[in-house]
Amino acid sequence: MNARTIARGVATLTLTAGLGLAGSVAVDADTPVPSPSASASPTPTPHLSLAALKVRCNSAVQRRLGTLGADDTFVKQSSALTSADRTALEGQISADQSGLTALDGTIQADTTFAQAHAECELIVTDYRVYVMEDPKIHEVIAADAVSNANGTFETLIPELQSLINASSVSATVKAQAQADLNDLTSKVDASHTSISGVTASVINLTPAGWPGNQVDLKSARSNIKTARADLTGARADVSHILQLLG
Amino acid sequence: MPQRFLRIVTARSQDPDTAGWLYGNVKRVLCLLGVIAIAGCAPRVHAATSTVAPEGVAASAPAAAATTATPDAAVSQALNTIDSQLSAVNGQLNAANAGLHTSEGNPAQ
Repeated sequence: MNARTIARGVATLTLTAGLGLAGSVAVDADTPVPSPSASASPTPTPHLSLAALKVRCNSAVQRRLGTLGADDTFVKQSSALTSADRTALEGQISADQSGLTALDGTIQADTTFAQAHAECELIVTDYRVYVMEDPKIHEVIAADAVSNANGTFETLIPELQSLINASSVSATVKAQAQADLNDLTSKVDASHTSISGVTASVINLTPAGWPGNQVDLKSARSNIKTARADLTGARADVSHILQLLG
Repeated sequence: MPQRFLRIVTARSQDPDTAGWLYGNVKRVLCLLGVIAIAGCAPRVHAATSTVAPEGVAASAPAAAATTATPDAAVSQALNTIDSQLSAVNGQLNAANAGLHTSEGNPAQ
């Protein structure tokens, strides 16, 4: 679990760094980035054969199935997710996998370029795998992990209070440790406030709400980052308390 | 007081458990005198207060490994759990961030 998390973290950090330099990246990078109304645009004059279009659409489906498969594995194995969230995400992933597979079958059976073109666009507009489903899944796991960390801190706080009370350090040092513990407690409370409702705000987002629901994803990310900063501060408080108590 | 202590020690000298009894009492005296480093008499945490939960487990569920832990051990275990949980938050947040900087493209064009 830890090795996988670290490996994934390194990979995503690398990707994030790359994105920072390159800006937005189109997943189907061999094609232009579509406008929001791409699905409503008229069918272009075929510059591909029907067979070539089908290959391209199949490739797009397979890439998304690969991402969903990886997400599904991660959802199944994550120890951070609540049972209800795991069930909900697994259901959504499974529905996307079935829908995309069926859509690919339909496209491969199409007999006209216009038909295949219209249905190929549904791979993006009906699923939003990369811009919505995938980040949503990661945000739900992150939010649940924050909640778990909050719970662990809450269990730790009385342990630290006992340590401070029983410590034989000077009254001055004990007061410093108590101030750190009070700060830790307020940070955990703040984390609670930041993370409250985050999972509920994103877990049921659907492609139909795109691009409007991008605001919800960004807001959730911001709240998770705030909670993470609070918990990182709380973690530093613990280290300082232990250092003070020797 | 010391004479009474010695009398008790002498009286218990035939007891097969004298060594253990003597050790316990000497330790108790050292603890009372505050010689904690030598006697190793840091207070034990009652099992009911040591319910640090591993990642993903409800905090109310007692963790078996913590039931006999000293405060230091319980705190260490909690910190390991917290570090793991924060690592998970970081990894997931970075992964979500990557998605939010991605556009789908259009395979049909």
